[in-house]
Amino acid sequence: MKVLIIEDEARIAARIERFLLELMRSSGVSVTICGSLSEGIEFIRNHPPDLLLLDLNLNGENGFEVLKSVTAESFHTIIISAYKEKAIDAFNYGVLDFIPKPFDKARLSLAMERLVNKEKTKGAGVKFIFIKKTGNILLFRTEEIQYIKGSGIYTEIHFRNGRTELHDKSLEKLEQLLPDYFLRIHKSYIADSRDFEKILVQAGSKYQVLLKNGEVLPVGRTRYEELIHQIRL
Amino acid sequence: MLIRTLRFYLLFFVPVLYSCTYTENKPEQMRLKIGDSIAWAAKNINEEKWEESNGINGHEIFWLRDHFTFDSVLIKERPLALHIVALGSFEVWWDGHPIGKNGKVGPSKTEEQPGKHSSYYLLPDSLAGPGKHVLAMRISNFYSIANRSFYNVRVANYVSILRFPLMYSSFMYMLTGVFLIVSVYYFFLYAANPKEQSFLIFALICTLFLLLILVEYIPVVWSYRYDVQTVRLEIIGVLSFCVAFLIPLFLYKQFFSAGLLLLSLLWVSLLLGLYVYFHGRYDFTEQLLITSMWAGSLLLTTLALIRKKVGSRPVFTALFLSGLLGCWLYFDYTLFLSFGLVILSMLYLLVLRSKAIDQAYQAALVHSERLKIDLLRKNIQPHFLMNTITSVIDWVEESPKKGVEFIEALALELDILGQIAEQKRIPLEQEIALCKSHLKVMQFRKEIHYTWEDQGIEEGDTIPPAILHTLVENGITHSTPLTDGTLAFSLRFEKNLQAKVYELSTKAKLNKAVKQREGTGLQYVRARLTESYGQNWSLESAAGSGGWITRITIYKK
Repeated sequence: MKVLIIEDEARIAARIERFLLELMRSSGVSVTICGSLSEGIEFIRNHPPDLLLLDLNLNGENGFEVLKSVTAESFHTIIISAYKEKAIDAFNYGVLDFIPKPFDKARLSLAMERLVNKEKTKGAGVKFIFIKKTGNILLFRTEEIQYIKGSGIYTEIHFRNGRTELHDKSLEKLEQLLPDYFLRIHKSYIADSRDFEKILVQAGSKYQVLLKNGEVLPVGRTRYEELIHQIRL
Repeated sequence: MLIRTLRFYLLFFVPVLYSCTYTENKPEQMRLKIGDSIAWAAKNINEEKWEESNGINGHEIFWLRDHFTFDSVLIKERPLALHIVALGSFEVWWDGHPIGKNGKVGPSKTEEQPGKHSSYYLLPDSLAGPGKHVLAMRISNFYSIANRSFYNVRVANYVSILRFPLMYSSFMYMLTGVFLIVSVYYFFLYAANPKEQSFLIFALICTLFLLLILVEYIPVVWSYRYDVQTVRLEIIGVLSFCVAFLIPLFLYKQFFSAGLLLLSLLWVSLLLGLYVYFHGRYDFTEQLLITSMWAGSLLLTTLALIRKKVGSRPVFTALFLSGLLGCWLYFDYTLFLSFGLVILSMLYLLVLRSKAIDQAYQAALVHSERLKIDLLRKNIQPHFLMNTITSVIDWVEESPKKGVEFIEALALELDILGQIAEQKRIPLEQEIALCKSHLKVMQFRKEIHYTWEDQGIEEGDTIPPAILHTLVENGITHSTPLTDGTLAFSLRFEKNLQAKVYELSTKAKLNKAVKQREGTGLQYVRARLTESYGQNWSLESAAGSGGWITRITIYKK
């Protein structure tokens, strides 16, 4: 796993690196440290990591601009910051975890478990989805998403208004970030359960869900039982 | 508020002055003859060769005969008395009967004993019947210093003729009391705040004004020699001149600022012209000066009103009302009443000014508190505190000895910040100690070798707190160490006759992202410089050879 640490405090960067190497010894991890934000952003452009550990001064003017651009990327971002009160905002923007300073090894370990075990983030889930498109970063409200379809390493996000956009994050990664009412109904689909009209059972144990707008999405055989249980339609 | 005060003022004074009227009788004819003959005291003589006049030029011994007719209305007012105002000593006969004398009449200055300017004589009822009466006065005026001497006589009820001047003057003295307090108050305010020249001008105007009232109404309470009258009139002239100069000057200063000197020179020469040209025509000159003052003030205030200056409306109203009063009442009263009005409105302007000063002071106070908080916040803001604590933990875990060193450096920095937080200026040495302790803390955090050097530092020099510290913080944030891992700060101090210069240079690689825009750090520095030096400083911050250079120049006043 390639991890990028962006942290301008050399001592702290070394501490993060040390903990990471100790925690992930078994799975093999390579760590890069960038001492400044601009340097880090430049590095990401050429060498996209699997995980970004970002020290962000979210009190500064462009902290959230940086946050938008990194959460639109394919990899997960974990914020390590002194500004504890900005944690909720960071989660709204789609970070996997928020580690307040000062931190110890246990706290970093918790974050890594969350990453490795593909656990859902704490709290109400991401509020805004940022999507890179033709050099710009577009903002969408999570509320507006009807369902998401996995498409290779990308995902297709389908909005209620019929619009479709491609996101760089995989379905698994998005699932971790999304609010609880988004359910994984199929290996290639996540959908907003509040939009479910009913579940259709077709011949040959083929399951489908009918959405309120008349659209029909496939339901995985293995996920049917769980789905019935969760939504009690 | 001002309008209500003005209304009260007018409602109070105008009726009071109107109530101070009474029945009086003045001579129908006045005849004068130079020379001396006791026969001229008789009631009926041939006055064919007598001049029709009540005054003369030069110094003489002469006679004056005034003819009265008493009607039934006046008779009801008995007992009657004569009030004689004269620039000379005299003996007086009523219908041929001697009724009194004032000083001793003589044919030359050595033989004359000067009398009072104003004197009163009771008329026995037996001599005050209805019909024609003749007053004869034997006069000498060798002590007179006026070009022309006048002799005026009135007849009225004995008590009223004494009481009337007391009545109206008492109100004037009340006015004097008010202006005495106001002038003393504004003198004190000016002493406490010498930058506010308007306070001084206003205090002067109030003082001159109360002196003017005192001198104007002093005959009521002080019976002085007739030659003093001319001196008194001269004093009134000078006081009117000063007031006529100062009131428009004050208004101009309140409403406008540019060209004050030129305009006041023009104004003073105009007034001086009037004063000199009409010198000796006392009441007329005074009236002319005051009217000019009024016209000048009205012109200024109208301009201010057009330009919508603060407070111009009430002043305009007061001037307009005083103009109306001037057309309506006898000059003596109007002068002081309308003066009072104008000064009230000026007082209102000063209240506005005081309010503005107070607000500016409050703002400065809040600003200083703000800066103090900014300074204290520097080291408790999460970015500094949490990063430092994280590094401390890391050092303690790895090398407790180094960790302790780190904590000590931090303690020193916090200690200095605590000491300087309340100050507006601190010794430069203390500021340098603060920078050095900060660099030590940052060295533990960033693992960069920071160096500090200073040259030319003068003992006893002071500087606003934490401004170099802020520049050092900026340097740390915005630069990357040189290839050998060092980042050098150097402070150079220079002093010459005009200015002190502090030049802080950072020898390092500059981060690409250094923005042109001013960060909160430099804003703090600018605010501190303004707090301590007003406008007398400059700050330049630019990339120089091998790093970043910030230059603070503090000019001598």
